[in-house]
Amino acid sequence: MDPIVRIPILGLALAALLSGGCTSADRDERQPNFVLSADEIRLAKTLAGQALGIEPNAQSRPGHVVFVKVDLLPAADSERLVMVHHYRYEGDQTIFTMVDLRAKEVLSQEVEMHYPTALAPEEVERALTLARADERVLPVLQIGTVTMEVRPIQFSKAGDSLFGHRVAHVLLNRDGNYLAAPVVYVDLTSETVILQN
Amino acid sequence: MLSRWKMSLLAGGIVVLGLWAGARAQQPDKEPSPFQAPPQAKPVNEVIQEFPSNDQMRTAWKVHWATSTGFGLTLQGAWFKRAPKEKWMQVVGDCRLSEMFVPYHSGSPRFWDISYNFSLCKVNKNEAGPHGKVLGNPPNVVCEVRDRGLAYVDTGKGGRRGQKLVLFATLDAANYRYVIEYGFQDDGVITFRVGSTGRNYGSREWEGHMHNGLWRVDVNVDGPANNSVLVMEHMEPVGEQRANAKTIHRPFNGGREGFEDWDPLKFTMLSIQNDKKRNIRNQPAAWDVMPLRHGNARHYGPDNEECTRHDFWVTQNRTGEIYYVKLPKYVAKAEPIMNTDVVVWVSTAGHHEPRSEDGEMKGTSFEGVTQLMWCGFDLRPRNVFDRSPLYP
Repeated sequence: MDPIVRIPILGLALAALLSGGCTSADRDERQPNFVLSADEIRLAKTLAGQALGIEPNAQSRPGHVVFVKVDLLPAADSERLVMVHHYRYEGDQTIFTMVDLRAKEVLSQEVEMHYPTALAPEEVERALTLARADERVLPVLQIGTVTMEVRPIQFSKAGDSLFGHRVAHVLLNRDGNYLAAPVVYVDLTSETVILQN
Repeated sequence: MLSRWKMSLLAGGIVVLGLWAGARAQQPDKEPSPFQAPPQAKPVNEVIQEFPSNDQMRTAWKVHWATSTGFGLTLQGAWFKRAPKEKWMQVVGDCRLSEMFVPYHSGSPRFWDISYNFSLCKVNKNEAGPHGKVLGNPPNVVCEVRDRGLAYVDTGKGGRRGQKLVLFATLDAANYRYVIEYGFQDDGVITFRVGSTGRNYGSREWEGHMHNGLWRVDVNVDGPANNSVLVMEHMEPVGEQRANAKTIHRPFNGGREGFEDWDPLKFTMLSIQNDKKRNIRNQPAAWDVMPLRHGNARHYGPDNEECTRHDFWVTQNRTGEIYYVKLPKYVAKAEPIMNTDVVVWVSTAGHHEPRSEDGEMKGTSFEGVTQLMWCGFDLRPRNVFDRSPLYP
Protein backbone atom coordinates (compact mmCIF):
# COMPACT_ATOMS: atom_id res chain seq x y z
CA MET A 1 0.00 0.00 0.00
CA ASP A 2 1.15 3.47 -0.85
CA PRO A 3 2.28 5.14 2.41
CA ILE A 4 0.42 8.33 1.45
CA VAL A 5 -2.83 6.34 1.36
CA ARG A 6 -2.03 4.23 4.40
CA ILE A 7 -1.45 7.06 6.87
CA PRO A 8 -4.88 8.76 6.47
CA ILE A 9 -6.71 5.41 6.78
CA LEU A 10 -4.88 4.47 9.95
CA GLY A 11 -5.36 8.01 11.23
CA LEU A 12 -9.09 7.74 10.58
CA ALA A 13 -9.20 4.46 12.43
CA LEU A 14 -7.45 5.91 15.46
CA ALA A 15 -9.59 9.04 15.38
CA ALA A 16 -12.72 6.89 15.34
CA LEU A 17 -11.48 4.94 18.36
CA LEU A 18 -10.54 8.09 20.28
CA SER A 19 -13.58 10.20 19.44
CA GLY A 20 -16.17 7.72 20.53
CA GLY A 21 -17.73 7.66 17.07
CA CYS A 22 -20.46 9.78 15.53
CA THR A 23 -23.80 9.68 17.30
CA SER A 24 -27.11 11.36 16.75
CA ALA A 25 -26.47 13.47 19.86
CA ASP A 26 -23.39 14.93 18.21
CA ARG A 27 -25.39 15.93 15.19
CA ASP A 28 -28.22 17.44 17.19
CA GLU A 29 -25.85 19.66 19.11
CA ARG A 30 -23.91 21.03 16.18
CA GLN A 31 -24.62 24.46 14.83
CA PRO A 32 -26.52 24.66 11.56
CA ASN A 33 -24.28 25.57 8.64
CA PHE A 34 -25.97 28.95 8.20
CA VAL A 35 -24.77 30.20 11.58
CA LEU A 36 -21.49 32.09 11.66
CA SER A 37 -19.54 31.31 14.81
CA ALA A 38 -17.98 34.05 16.91
CA ASP A 39 -14.56 32.85 15.72
CA GLU A 40 -15.62 33.09 12.08
CA ILE A 41 -16.96 36.61 12.54
CA ARG A 42 -13.75 37.60 14.34
CA LEU A 43 -11.63 36.16 11.54
CA ALA A 44 -13.70 37.85 8.83
CA LYS A 45 -13.54 41.17 10.63
CA THR A 46 -9.79 40.87 11.15
CA LEU A 47 -8.99 39.95 7.55
CA ALA A 48 -11.23 42.64 6.11
CA GLY A 49 -9.87 45.16 8.58
CA GLN A 50 -6.30 44.32 7.62
CA ALA A 51 -7.17 44.83 3.97
CA LEU A 52 -8.50 48.25 4.93
CA GLY A 53 -5.45 49.05 7.03
CA ILE A 54 -7.34 48.97 10.32
CA GLU A 55 -5.39 47.91 13.40
CA PRO A 56 -6.97 44.74 14.93
CA ASN A 57 -7.57 46.29 18.35
CA ALA A 58 -8.26 49.83 17.24
CA GLN A 59 -11.40 51.43 18.67
CA SER A 60 -13.73 52.54 15.92
CA ARG A 61 -14.54 56.21 16.13
CA PRO A 62 -17.08 58.23 14.21
CA GLY A 63 -15.27 60.04 11.44
CA HIS A 64 -13.32 56.95 10.63
CA VAL A 65 -14.35 53.40 9.75
CA VAL A 66 -16.80 51.20 11.66
CA PHE A 67 -17.37 47.49 11.28
CA VAL A 68 -21.05 46.93 10.51
CA LYS A 69 -21.81 43.27 9.82
CA VAL A 70 -20.87 40.01 8.13
CA ASP A 71 -23.16 38.25 5.63
CA LEU A 72 -22.69 34.56 4.94
CA LEU A 73 -22.67 34.08 1.16
CA PRO A 74 -24.27 31.20 -0.73
CA ALA A 75 -21.48 28.83 -1.73
CA ALA A 76 -20.63 25.20 -2.19
CA ASP A 77 -20.53 23.03 0.93
CA SER A 78 -16.75 22.95 0.75
CA GLU A 79 -16.55 26.74 0.87
CA ARG A 80 -17.16 29.28 3.61
CA LEU A 81 -17.42 32.74 2.07
CA VAL A 82 -18.61 35.94 3.71
CA MET A 83 -19.12 39.59 2.87
CA VAL A 84 -17.88 42.01 5.50
CA HIS A 85 -19.45 45.46 5.61
CA HIS A 86 -17.62 48.52 6.93
CA TYR A 87 -18.81 52.10 6.89
CA ARG A 88 -16.45 55.03 6.38
CA TYR A 89 -17.79 58.37 7.57
CA GLU A 90 -15.54 60.33 5.28
CA GLY A 91 -17.30 60.32 1.93
CA ASP A 92 -20.34 58.34 3.21
CA GLN A 93 -18.82 55.13 1.91
CA THR A 94 -19.77 51.49 2.44
CA ILE A 95 -16.94 49.01 1.94
CA PHE A 96 -17.70 45.43 0.94
CA THR A 97 -14.94 42.92 1.55
CA MET A 98 -15.42 39.34 0.37
CA VAL A 99 -13.48 36.88 2.52
CA ASP A 100 -12.77 33.18 2.11
CA LEU A 101 -12.78 31.91 5.70
CA ARG A 102 -11.30 28.50 4.83
CA ALA A 103 -8.37 29.95 2.89
CA LYS A 104 -8.20 32.95 5.25
CA GLU A 105 -7.88 35.38 2.41
CA VAL A 106 -9.59 38.46 1.06
CA LEU A 107 -11.08 37.83 -2.37
CA SER A 108 -12.29 41.30 -3.29
CA GLN A 109 -13.02 44.74 -1.96
CA GLU A 110 -15.51 47.28 -3.33
CA VAL A 111 -16.63 50.72 -2.22
CA GLU A 112 -20.12 52.19 -2.71
CA MET A 113 -21.09 55.81 -2.04
CA HIS A 114 -24.35 56.73 -0.29
CA TYR A 115 -25.29 53.05 -0.02
CA PRO A 116 -28.06 51.95 2.39
CA THR A 117 -26.10 50.60 5.30
CA ALA A 118 -27.02 49.21 8.70
CA LEU A 119 -25.82 50.91 11.86
CA ALA A 120 -23.08 49.21 13.84
CA PRO A 121 -24.02 48.31 17.43
CA GLU A 122 -21.67 50.98 18.72
CA GLU A 123 -23.43 53.56 16.53
CA VAL A 124 -26.81 52.50 17.87
CA GLU A 125 -25.47 52.93 21.40
CA ARG A 126 -24.01 56.33 20.54
CA ALA A 127 -27.32 57.48 19.06
CA LEU A 128 -29.19 56.39 22.18
CA THR A 129 -26.67 58.06 24.45
CA LEU A 130 -26.88 61.36 22.58
CA ALA A 131 -30.68 61.24 22.46
CA ARG A 132 -31.03 60.44 26.15
CA ALA A 133 -28.73 63.31 27.04
CA ASP A 134 -30.64 65.86 25.00
CA GLU A 135 -32.55 68.26 27.23
CA ARG A 136 -35.42 68.47 24.74
CA VAL A 137 -35.86 64.70 24.73
CA LEU A 138 -35.57 64.21 28.50
CA PRO A 139 -39.07 65.50 29.39
CA VAL A 140 -40.61 63.11 26.87
CA LEU A 141 -38.83 60.18 28.46
CA GLN A 142 -40.21 61.04 31.89
CA ILE A 143 -43.89 60.48 31.03
CA GLY A 144 -45.02 56.85 31.15
CA THR A 145 -42.71 54.04 30.12
CA VAL A 146 -40.78 55.13 27.07
CA THR A 147 -38.49 52.83 25.15
CA MET A 148 -36.23 53.94 22.34
CA GLU A 149 -35.54 52.05 19.10
CA VAL A 150 -33.04 53.04 16.46
CA ARG A 151 -33.27 52.63 12.71
CA PRO A 152 -30.98 54.11 10.07
CA ILE A 153 -32.34 56.81 7.81
CA GLN A 154 -30.70 58.30 4.74
CA PHE A 155 -31.27 61.75 3.35
CA SER A 156 -31.00 61.25 -0.35
CA LYS A 157 -31.47 64.73 -1.82
CA ALA A 158 -28.11 66.26 -2.62
CA GLY A 159 -29.17 69.68 -1.30
CA ASP A 160 -30.34 68.40 2.09
CA SER A 161 -28.22 69.46 5.07
CA LEU A 162 -28.10 65.81 6.20
CA PHE A 163 -27.18 64.43 2.78
CA GLY A 164 -24.14 62.17 3.07
CA HIS A 165 -24.40 62.08 6.88
CA ARG A 166 -24.77 59.03 9.06
CA VAL A 167 -28.19 59.52 10.65
CA ALA A 168 -30.16 57.44 13.14
CA HIS A 169 -33.88 57.88 13.70
CA VAL A 170 -34.63 57.25 17.36
CA LEU A 171 -38.20 56.00 17.57
CA LEU A 172 -39.98 56.73 20.85
CA ASN A 173 -42.44 54.16 22.05
CA ARG A 174 -44.58 55.03 25.05
CA ASP A 175 -46.47 52.21 26.74
CA GLY A 176 -46.37 50.12 23.57
CA ASN A 177 -47.35 52.84 21.09
CA TYR A 178 -45.08 54.94 18.91
CA LEU A 179 -45.17 58.69 19.42
CA ALA A 180 -45.95 60.86 16.43
CA ALA A 181 -43.91 63.67 17.97
CA PRO A 182 -41.21 64.60 18.60
CA VAL A 183 -39.27 63.04 15.74
CA VAL A 184 -35.73 62.51 16.98
CA TYR A 185 -32.83 62.22 14.55
CA VAL A 186 -29.26 61.77 15.69
CA ASP A 187 -26.69 62.96 13.17
CA LEU A 188 -23.77 60.71 14.04
CA THR A 189 -21.50 62.52 11.59
CA SER A 190 -21.79 65.81 13.47
CA GLU A 191 -22.85 64.23 16.79
CA THR A 192 -25.94 66.38 17.06
CA VAL A 193 -29.55 65.65 17.96
CA ILE A 194 -32.23 67.09 15.68
CA LEU A 195 -35.85 67.34 16.79
CA GLN A 196 -38.89 67.81 14.61
CA ASN A 197 -42.27 68.37 16.19
CA MET B 1 5.74 -7.42 4.83
CA LEU B 2 1.96 -7.47 4.65
CA SER B 3 0.39 -7.64 1.25
CA ARG B 4 -1.68 -4.66 0.02
CA TRP B 5 -5.07 -6.37 0.49
CA LYS B 6 -4.20 -7.56 3.99
CA MET B 7 -3.20 -4.04 4.91
CA SER B 8 -6.49 -2.68 3.57
CA LEU B 9 -8.43 -5.32 5.51
CA LEU B 10 -6.60 -4.46 8.71
CA ALA B 11 -7.17 -0.73 8.34
CA GLY B 12 -10.83 -1.22 7.46
CA GLY B 13 -11.27 -3.50 10.46
CA ILE B 14 -9.83 -0.91 12.77
CA VAL B 15 -12.19 1.76 11.35
CA VAL B 16 -15.25 -0.45 11.92
CA LEU B 17 -14.04 -1.36 15.41
CA GLY B 18 -13.49 2.27 16.24
CA LEU B 19 -16.96 3.34 15.11
CA TRP B 20 -18.56 0.43 16.95
CA ALA B 21 -16.67 1.13 20.15
CA GLY B 22 -17.56 4.79 19.96
CA ALA B 23 -21.23 4.07 19.45
CA ARG B 24 -21.23 1.69 22.43
CA ALA B 25 -19.56 4.28 24.65
CA GLN B 26 -22.15 6.94 23.82
CA GLN B 27 -25.27 4.76 23.81
CA PRO B 28 -24.92 2.25 26.66
CA ASP B 29 -28.62 1.36 26.67
CA LYS B 30 -28.61 0.11 23.08
CA GLU B 31 -26.93 -2.95 21.68
CA PRO B 32 -26.07 -1.94 18.13
CA SER B 33 -24.74 -4.34 15.61
CA PRO B 34 -21.08 -3.65 14.92
CA PHE B 35 -21.89 -3.98 11.22
CA GLN B 36 -24.76 -1.50 11.22
CA ALA B 37 -23.91 1.72 9.42
CA PRO B 38 -24.42 4.88 11.46
CA PRO B 39 -27.59 6.74 10.54
CA GLN B 40 -27.22 9.22 7.69
CA ALA B 41 -26.54 12.69 9.01
CA LYS B 42 -29.51 14.90 8.17
CA PRO B 43 -28.96 18.64 8.20
CA VAL B 44 -30.79 20.25 11.09
CA ASN B 45 -32.33 22.74 8.67
CA GLU B 46 -33.77 20.11 6.35
CA VAL B 47 -37.51 19.57 6.00
CA ILE B 48 -38.90 16.72 3.93
CA GLN B 49 -42.62 16.66 3.25
CA GLU B 50 -44.50 13.99 1.34
CA PHE B 51 -47.86 14.65 -0.30
CA PRO B 52 -50.58 13.91 0.41
CA SER B 53 -49.80 14.10 4.09
CA ASN B 54 -52.56 11.62 4.95
CA ASP B 55 -52.28 9.00 2.23
CA GLN B 56 -49.82 7.15 0.02
CA MET B 57 -47.10 9.44 -1.27
CA ARG B 58 -47.52 11.00 -4.71
CA THR B 59 -45.00 13.86 -4.64
CA ALA B 60 -42.54 15.30 -2.13
CA TRP B 61 -40.35 18.30 -1.33
CA LYS B 62 -37.00 18.45 0.41
CA VAL B 63 -36.14 21.95 1.62
CA HIS B 64 -33.03 23.41 3.26
CA TRP B 65 -33.88 26.65 5.01
CA ALA B 66 -31.65 29.17 6.78
CA THR B 67 -31.99 32.31 8.85
CA SER B 68 -29.82 35.37 9.35
CA THR B 69 -30.12 38.93 10.52
CA GLY B 70 -30.84 41.17 7.58
CA PHE B 71 -32.20 38.64 5.12
CA GLY B 72 -34.40 36.86 7.64
CA LEU B 73 -35.63 33.52 6.30
CA THR B 74 -33.83 32.24 3.19
CA LEU B 75 -33.63 28.98 1.26
CA GLN B 76 -30.37 27.16 0.66
CA GLY B 77 -32.02 24.80 -1.78
CA ALA B 78 -35.19 22.87 -2.60
CA TRP B 79 -35.64 19.55 -4.38
CA PHE B 80 -38.83 18.05 -5.79
CA LYS B 81 -39.83 14.44 -6.27
CA ARG B 82 -42.56 14.11 -8.91
CA ALA B 83 -43.26 10.43 -8.10
CA PRO B 84 -42.37 8.08 -5.22
CA LYS B 85 -39.68 6.17 -7.13
CA GLU B 86 -38.09 9.17 -8.79
CA LYS B 87 -34.88 10.82 -7.64
CA TRP B 88 -34.89 14.25 -6.10
CA MET B 89 -34.71 16.96 -8.75
CA GLN B 90 -33.24 20.28 -7.67
CA VAL B 91 -35.43 23.28 -8.41
CA VAL B 92 -33.77 26.19 -6.62
CA GLY B 93 -30.57 26.99 -4.80
CA ASP B 94 -30.21 30.12 -2.68
CA CYS B 95 -33.42 32.16 -2.53
CA ARG B 96 -33.97 35.24 -0.46
CA LEU B 97 -35.84 38.49 -0.11
CA SER B 98 -32.84 40.47 -1.24
CA GLU B 99 -34.26 43.88 -0.36
CA MET B 100 -37.36 45.61 0.97
CA PHE B 101 -37.39 49.16 -0.34
CA VAL B 102 -39.88 51.55 1.29
CA PRO B 103 -39.99 55.05 -0.19
CA TYR B 104 -42.53 57.55 1.14
CA HIS B 105 -44.56 59.76 -1.16
CA SER B 106 -43.07 63.03 0.11
CA GLY B 107 -39.63 61.86 -1.04
CA SER B 108 -38.26 61.00 2.38
CA PRO B 109 -37.69 58.70 4.16
CA ARG B 110 -36.58 55.98 1.73
CA PHE B 111 -35.84 52.82 3.71
CA TRP B 112 -33.90 49.72 2.60
CA ASP B 113 -35.08 47.37 5.30
CA ILE B 114 -33.02 44.32 4.36
CA SER B 115 -29.74 46.21 4.18
CA TYR B 116 -30.45 47.63 7.65
CA ASN B 117 -29.78 44.20 9.15
CA PHE B 118 -32.85 43.72 11.32
CA SER B 119 -33.33 40.50 13.30
CA LEU B 120 -36.13 37.99 13.11
CA CYS B 121 -38.95 38.09 15.65
CA LYS B 122 -39.33 35.22 18.05
CA VAL B 123 -42.43 33.34 17.10
CA ASN B 124 -45.21 32.53 19.57
CA LYS B 125 -47.91 29.87 19.69
CA ASN B 126 -50.59 32.20 18.36
CA GLU B 127 -48.54 32.92 15.28
CA ALA B 128 -47.58 29.28 14.75
CA GLY B 129 -51.22 28.21 14.90
CA PRO B 130 -52.59 24.77 15.74
CA HIS B 131 -50.57 22.92 13.08
CA GLY B 132 -47.37 24.95 12.97
CA LYS B 133 -44.09 23.48 14.13
CA VAL B 134 -41.66 26.05 15.46
CA LEU B 135 -38.08 25.74 14.22
CA GLY B 136 -34.83 27.51 14.97
CA ASN B 137 -32.81 28.47 17.98
CA PRO B 138 -34.03 31.02 18.98
CA PRO B 139 -37.46 29.88 17.78
CA ASN B 140 -38.24 32.11 14.81
CA VAL B 141 -39.40 29.91 11.92
CA VAL B 142 -42.77 28.20 11.52
CA CYS B 143 -43.22 25.09 9.40
CA GLU B 144 -46.67 23.77 8.62
CA VAL B 145 -48.69 21.86 6.05
CA ARG B 146 -51.72 23.77 4.77
CA ASP B 147 -54.75 22.81 2.79
CA ARG B 148 -54.61 24.99 -0.31
CA GLY B 149 -58.16 24.51 -1.43
CA LEU B 150 -59.08 22.96 -4.73
CA ALA B 151 -56.18 21.81 -6.86
CA TYR B 152 -58.46 20.99 -9.79
CA VAL B 153 -61.99 20.02 -10.75
CA ASP B 154 -62.20 17.52 -13.60
CA THR B 155 -65.24 16.92 -15.76
CA GLY B 156 -64.75 13.16 -15.55
CA LYS B 157 -63.11 12.34 -12.25
CA GLY B 158 -64.18 15.17 -10.06
CA GLY B 159 -62.08 17.46 -7.90
CA ARG B 160 -59.18 17.22 -5.50
CA ARG B 161 -57.89 19.47 -2.79
CA GLY B 162 -54.22 20.41 -2.73
CA GLN B 163 -51.70 20.88 0.05
CA LYS B 164 -48.55 22.82 0.59
CA LEU B 165 -45.65 22.91 2.97
CA VAL B 166 -45.11 26.44 4.26
CA LEU B 167 -42.11 27.95 6.00
CA PHE B 168 -42.38 31.48 7.33
CA ALA B 169 -40.59 33.91 9.63
CA THR B 170 -41.04 37.58 10.49
CA LEU B 171 -38.45 40.32 10.19
CA ASP B 172 -38.45 42.83 13.06
CA ALA B 173 -37.90 46.09 11.13
CA ALA B 174 -38.38 48.63 13.92
CA ASN B 175 -42.01 49.76 13.64
CA TYR B 176 -42.68 47.39 10.73
CA ARG B 177 -42.84 43.62 10.34
CA TYR B 178 -42.20 41.64 7.19
CA VAL B 179 -43.50 38.09 7.04
CA ILE B 180 -41.29 36.15 4.64
CA GLU B 181 -42.99 33.00 3.44
CA TYR B 182 -42.06 30.16 1.11
CA GLY B 183 -44.66 27.58 0.08
CA PHE B 184 -44.01 24.22 -1.56
CA GLN B 185 -47.10 22.82 -3.19
CA ASP B 186 -47.89 19.21 -3.91
CA ASP B 187 -48.06 20.04 -7.65
CA GLY B 188 -44.47 21.31 -7.77
CA VAL B 189 -45.21 25.04 -7.42
CA ILE B 190 -43.08 27.17 -5.09
CA THR B 191 -44.77 30.30 -3.76
CA PHE B 192 -42.72 33.32 -2.71
CA ARG B 193 -44.54 35.81 -0.52
CA VAL B 194 -43.73 38.79 1.65
CA GLY B 195 -46.36 40.36 3.83
CA SER B 196 -46.04 43.89 5.23
CA THR B 197 -47.62 44.62 8.58
CA GLY B 198 -46.90 46.50 11.82
CA ARG B 199 -47.22 50.12 12.91
CA ASN B 200 -47.34 52.99 10.48
CA TYR B 201 -44.22 55.14 10.65
CA GLY B 202 -44.27 57.70 13.46
CA SER B 203 -45.23 61.23 12.27
CA ARG B 204 -46.08 59.83 8.80
CA GLU B 205 -48.96 57.66 9.91
CA TRP B 206 -51.19 58.78 7.06
CA GLU B 207 -48.62 59.17 4.31
CA GLY B 208 -48.71 56.78 1.35
CA HIS B 209 -45.66 54.72 0.61
CA MET B 210 -44.50 51.62 -1.23
CA HIS B 211 -43.24 48.25 -0.08
CA ASN B 212 -41.00 46.85 -2.80
CA GLY B 213 -40.26 43.19 -2.08
CA LEU B 214 -37.19 42.49 -4.20
CA TRP B 215 -36.23 38.84 -4.57
CA ARG B 216 -33.13 36.91 -5.55
CA VAL B 217 -33.92 33.40 -6.82
CA ASP B 218 -31.19 31.02 -7.91
CA VAL B 219 -33.24 28.73 -10.12
CA ASN B 220 -31.48 25.39 -10.61
CA VAL B 221 -33.70 23.19 -12.78
CA ASP B 222 -32.18 19.73 -12.33
CA GLY B 223 -29.05 21.37 -10.95
CA PRO B 224 -27.28 24.65 -11.59
CA ALA B 225 -25.87 23.81 -15.03
CA ASN B 226 -27.59 24.13 -18.42
CA ASN B 227 -30.25 26.58 -17.29
CA SER B 228 -31.57 29.19 -19.73
CA VAL B 229 -34.00 32.04 -19.18
CA LEU B 230 -36.75 32.69 -21.70
CA VAL B 231 -39.55 35.25 -21.86
CA MET B 232 -43.06 34.17 -22.79
CA GLU B 233 -45.40 36.84 -24.13
CA HIS B 234 -48.96 36.75 -25.31
CA MET B 235 -49.39 38.90 -28.44
CA GLU B 236 -52.75 40.06 -29.76
CA PRO B 237 -53.70 41.00 -32.42
CA VAL B 238 -51.27 39.44 -34.85
CA GLY B 239 -50.84 41.19 -38.20
CA GLU B 240 -53.96 41.85 -40.18
CA GLN B 241 -55.88 38.97 -38.64
CA ARG B 242 -57.33 41.00 -35.77
CA ALA B 243 -58.85 37.97 -34.04
CA ASN B 244 -55.59 36.02 -33.97
CA ALA B 245 -53.17 35.83 -31.07
CA LYS B 246 -49.89 34.05 -30.52
CA THR B 247 -47.30 33.34 -27.83
CA ILE B 248 -43.71 34.38 -28.27
CA HIS B 249 -40.92 32.42 -26.60
CA ARG B 250 -37.63 34.28 -26.80
CA PRO B 251 -34.37 34.46 -24.84
CA PHE B 252 -34.48 36.96 -21.97
CA ASN B 253 -32.79 40.20 -23.05
CA GLY B 254 -31.41 38.51 -26.12
CA GLY B 255 -29.78 35.79 -24.01
CA ARG B 256 -27.62 38.22 -22.04
CA GLU B 257 -27.64 39.55 -18.47
CA GLY B 258 -29.95 42.51 -18.10
CA PHE B 259 -33.56 43.39 -17.37
CA GLU B 260 -37.08 43.12 -18.79
CA ASP B 261 -40.38 44.66 -17.73
CA TRP B 262 -43.77 43.17 -17.05
CA ASP B 263 -46.41 44.14 -19.59
CA PRO B 264 -50.01 43.51 -18.50
CA LEU B 265 -51.09 43.30 -22.15
CA LYS B 266 -48.54 40.56 -22.81
CA PHE B 267 -48.96 38.57 -19.59
CA THR B 268 -45.18 38.52 -19.34
CA MET B 269 -43.76 35.34 -17.81
CA LEU B 270 -40.23 34.06 -17.46
CA SER B 271 -39.37 30.42 -18.02
CA ILE B 272 -36.15 28.92 -16.69
CA GLN B 273 -35.51 25.67 -18.53
CA ASN B 274 -32.93 22.93 -18.62
CA ASP B 275 -32.53 21.72 -22.16
CA LYS B 276 -30.80 18.52 -20.99
CA LYS B 277 -33.70 17.41 -18.80
CA ARG B 278 -36.71 16.35 -20.81
CA ASN B 279 -40.05 14.74 -20.08
CA ILE B 280 -41.93 12.06 -21.96
CA ARG B 281 -42.95 14.54 -24.69
CA ASN B 282 -39.29 15.43 -25.12
CA GLN B 283 -40.01 18.90 -23.78
CA PRO B 284 -37.34 20.61 -21.64
CA ALA B 285 -38.13 20.78 -17.94
CA ALA B 286 -38.72 24.32 -16.75
CA TRP B 287 -40.06 26.37 -13.89
CA ASP B 288 -41.98 29.54 -14.85
CA VAL B 289 -42.01 32.81 -12.92
CA MET B 290 -45.72 33.56 -12.62
CA PRO B 291 -46.21 37.22 -11.61
CA LEU B 292 -49.00 38.06 -9.15
CA ARG B 293 -48.77 41.80 -9.38
CA HIS B 294 -50.45 44.82 -7.82
CA GLY B 295 -48.53 47.02 -10.29
CA ASN B 296 -45.09 47.96 -11.54
CA ALA B 297 -43.09 50.08 -9.10
CA ARG B 298 -40.70 52.70 -10.46
CA HIS B 299 -38.71 54.97 -8.18
CA TYR B 300 -36.68 57.98 -9.20
CA GLY B 301 -34.73 58.97 -6.13
CA PRO B 302 -30.95 58.73 -6.01
CA ASP B 303 -28.88 56.55 -8.33
CA ASN B 304 -29.10 53.48 -6.10
CA GLU B 305 -32.82 53.23 -6.99
CA GLU B 306 -32.04 52.28 -10.57
CA CYS B 307 -32.55 48.66 -9.53
CA THR B 308 -36.26 49.42 -8.91
CA ARG B 309 -36.90 50.64 -12.45
CA HIS B 310 -37.38 47.19 -13.96
CA ASP B 311 -39.46 44.19 -12.95
CA PHE B 312 -37.14 41.30 -13.80
CA TRP B 313 -33.38 41.05 -13.89
CA VAL B 314 -31.28 38.00 -14.75
CA THR B 315 -27.63 37.43 -13.94
CA GLN B 316 -25.20 34.58 -13.97
CA ASN B 317 -24.78 33.06 -10.53
CA ARG B 318 -21.58 34.65 -9.24
CA THR B 319 -20.14 34.47 -5.77
CA GLY B 320 -20.99 37.41 -3.56
CA GLU B 321 -23.79 38.82 -5.69
CA ILE B 322 -26.74 38.89 -3.33
CA TYR B 323 -27.49 42.63 -3.06
CA TYR B 324 -30.41 43.91 -5.13
CA VAL B 325 -29.19 47.51 -5.07
CA LYS B 326 -26.08 46.47 -6.98
CA LEU B 327 -27.97 44.85 -9.87
CA PRO B 328 -27.06 47.50 -12.45
CA LYS B 329 -23.40 46.73 -11.72
CA TYR B 330 -23.94 42.97 -11.77
CA VAL B 331 -25.37 43.08 -15.31
CA ALA B 332 -22.87 45.60 -16.66
CA LYS B 333 -20.86 43.00 -18.58
CA ALA B 334 -23.97 41.47 -20.17
CA GLU B 335 -22.68 37.92 -19.79
CA PRO B 336 -24.63 35.04 -21.45
CA ILE B 337 -27.55 33.57 -19.52
CA MET B 338 -28.23 30.57 -21.73
CA ASN B 339 -27.10 27.06 -20.72
CA THR B 340 -25.43 28.23 -17.56
CA ASP B 341 -26.11 28.81 -13.84
CA VAL B 342 -28.56 31.71 -13.64
CA VAL B 343 -30.18 33.89 -11.00
CA VAL B 344 -33.56 35.55 -11.49
CA TRP B 345 -34.35 38.77 -9.63
CA VAL B 346 -38.02 39.68 -9.28
CA SER B 347 -39.67 42.89 -8.10
CA THR B 348 -42.98 42.42 -6.24
CA ALA B 349 -44.25 45.76 -5.04
CA GLY B 350 -47.25 46.83 -3.00
CA HIS B 351 -48.68 50.30 -2.55
CA HIS B 352 -49.73 51.14 0.98
CA GLU B 353 -52.23 53.97 1.09
CA PRO B 354 -53.01 54.26 4.81
CA ARG B 355 -56.56 53.79 5.98
CA SER B 356 -58.42 54.00 9.26
CA GLU B 357 -58.07 50.24 9.63
CA ASP B 358 -54.30 50.78 10.14
CA GLY B 359 -54.87 52.39 13.52
CA GLU B 360 -55.87 55.57 15.28
CA MET B 361 -54.24 58.59 16.87
CA LYS B 362 -54.65 58.79 20.61
CA GLY B 363 -53.09 62.05 21.68
CA THR B 364 -49.56 61.92 20.31
CA SER B 365 -49.54 58.12 20.11
CA PHE B 366 -50.59 55.92 17.23
CA GLU B 367 -52.38 52.74 18.25
CA GLY B 368 -53.34 49.84 16.02
CA VAL B 369 -51.77 47.58 13.43
CA THR B 370 -51.71 47.48 9.66
CA GLN B 371 -53.19 44.24 8.41
CA LEU B 372 -50.89 42.11 6.28
CA MET B 373 -50.54 43.15 2.65
CA TRP B 374 -49.08 40.33 0.56
CA CYS B 375 -46.89 40.55 -2.52
CA GLY B 376 -45.06 37.81 -4.37
CA PHE B 377 -44.95 35.42 -7.26
CA ASP B 378 -45.07 31.71 -8.03
CA LEU B 379 -42.51 29.42 -9.57
CA ARG B 380 -44.55 26.87 -11.52
CA PRO B 381 -43.35 23.69 -13.24
CA ARG B 382 -43.63 23.36 -17.02
CA ASN B 383 -43.02 20.00 -18.70
CA VAL B 384 -41.62 18.58 -15.48
CA PHE B 385 -44.38 15.99 -15.17
CA ASP B 386 -45.35 13.60 -17.96
CA ARG B 387 -49.02 14.01 -17.14
CA SER B 388 -51.34 15.98 -14.86
CA PRO B 389 -49.93 15.90 -11.34
CA LEU B 390 -52.02 14.32 -8.58
CA TYR B 391 -54.50 13.04 -11.16
CA PRO B 392 -56.00 9.59 -10.49
